[in-house]
Amino acid sequence: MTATATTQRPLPVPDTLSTPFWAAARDHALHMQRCDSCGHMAYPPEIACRACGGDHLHFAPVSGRATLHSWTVLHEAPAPGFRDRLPLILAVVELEEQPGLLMSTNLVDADPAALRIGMPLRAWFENITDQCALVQFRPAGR
Amino acid sequence: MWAHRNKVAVAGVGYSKLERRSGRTLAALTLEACDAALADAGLLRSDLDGIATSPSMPRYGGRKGVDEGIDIVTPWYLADLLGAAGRVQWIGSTNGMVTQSLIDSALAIIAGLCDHVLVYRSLHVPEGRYVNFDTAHAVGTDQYLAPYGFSMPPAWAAVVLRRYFELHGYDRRDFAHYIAANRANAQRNPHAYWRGKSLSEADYIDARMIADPLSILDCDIPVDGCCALILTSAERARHLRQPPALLTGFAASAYQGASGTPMNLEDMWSGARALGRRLWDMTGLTPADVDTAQLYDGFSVLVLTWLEGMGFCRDGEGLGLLRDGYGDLDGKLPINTGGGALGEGRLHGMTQLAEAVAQVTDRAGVRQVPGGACALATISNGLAKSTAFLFSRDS
Repeated sequence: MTATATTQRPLPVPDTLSTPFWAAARDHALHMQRCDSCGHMAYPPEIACRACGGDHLHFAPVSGRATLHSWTVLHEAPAPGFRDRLPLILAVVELEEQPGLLMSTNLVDADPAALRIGMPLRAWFENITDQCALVQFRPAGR
Repeated sequence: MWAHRNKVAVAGVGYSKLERRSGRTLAALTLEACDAALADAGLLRSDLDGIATSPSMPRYGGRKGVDEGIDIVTPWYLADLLGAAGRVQWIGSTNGMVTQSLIDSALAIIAGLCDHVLVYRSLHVPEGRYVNFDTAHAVGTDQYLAPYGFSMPPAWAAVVLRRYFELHGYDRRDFAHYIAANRANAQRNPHAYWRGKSLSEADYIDARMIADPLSILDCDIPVDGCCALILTSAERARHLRQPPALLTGFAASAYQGASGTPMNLEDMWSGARALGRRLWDMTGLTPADVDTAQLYDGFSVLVLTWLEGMGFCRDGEGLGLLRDGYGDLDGKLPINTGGGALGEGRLHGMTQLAEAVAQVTDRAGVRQVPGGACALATISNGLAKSTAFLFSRDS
């Protein structure tokens, strides 16, 4: 991969572990890697299950429901491709399916002043290019 | 209890000048610090038979250099520069933190591989905006972070600070006393980058936000520079120029935590607690035995997770204690008495180690903690690659 400077938002490059995740996102579905042996889910995907050590892991759809674990608000772009998205809310969300299953993402359609830990969120998908959709979250019920 | 308790010592400490954009090569700064550490111990380059560091240069985006002598100084290259290549018995290099190198070096001395080991950390400020992720593609772990703008450590620390504030009912005003007092400590440290520049509580409240609620004054100051330590046996150290700082014990963390975010408050507490338990078990000491704590502060919030995780108080109590002066130079537990990385400069834990050594050898000058016989130094964020050390005064 050549490291060319860009003014675009960085695009994820799927690899052996992550290809199913990004393929699902392109179809506007949120899939999490799940251990066949114990059911423990991992994000990002792992080589082996951290809960039981099993190495049979597959992706399965999840609800897209989550709660807000924490957040920060950026008023300056963290990279050139974010200049038209300020203020940018970077959030860590906890997926409904498993306590401690955290995902780093953005919150959209949200008032920074109204955010609180535990507020219900819902995943949605933003097409960044023809080949790439990013998982984003917005307050549930909006 | 550890059989080698107090049998290895730090015998010398050396710094290069710590500057922004110094215009000097990292190799030159490294030599300056290493020669200063040797001179402090009363040793010559020809006495060195071991060298260790973690030479990694943090990279965000794809255009940061990795040139030897300019961006990094590996121990092999340094051995050549010092004219020690033919004599060095043992070299340590890790991808972790330099403090892992300190553990490795202590073990090399205990094993009898070498007599005098140089441990150093060299870092510089890369050209351009420091954490600008301006590459088109995010590969590896970056793919889960950079597309969302989660590509800079201040943002990772900010979500930890936000969660701490929200869960325990604090805000930035509660941190102002500690940050101002920390800067006052830096005024008393001749090595500190911020020496000569005081800071008020109001300055902190009004500081520019980097990742709300984390301001620029919650981040350590990136510098060009190097700090070096000389390790040897306690016995040998007693015949050298300075009083030895005895290594009483150490612990390292392998705690990974949730991987969906680079830092997470609960995992940092858990990691620090596990590390603390091992440190107290290994040394037979408790938090009550510690006279001064040098707690890693690459970001201000880490002072809180270390303070709580190491067992000085309960989770969520730390910021209230700091607000009320607990960590002041004349407080119950003086913290980061040399200004830490926030005040002294960004050297990945060397500020904490060097200050712990200064305190237990009675060499901290106007910032000396009376009766400072036992000093704790913690490094990183409690997660994997984090370390903690206890140093004791020689009786």
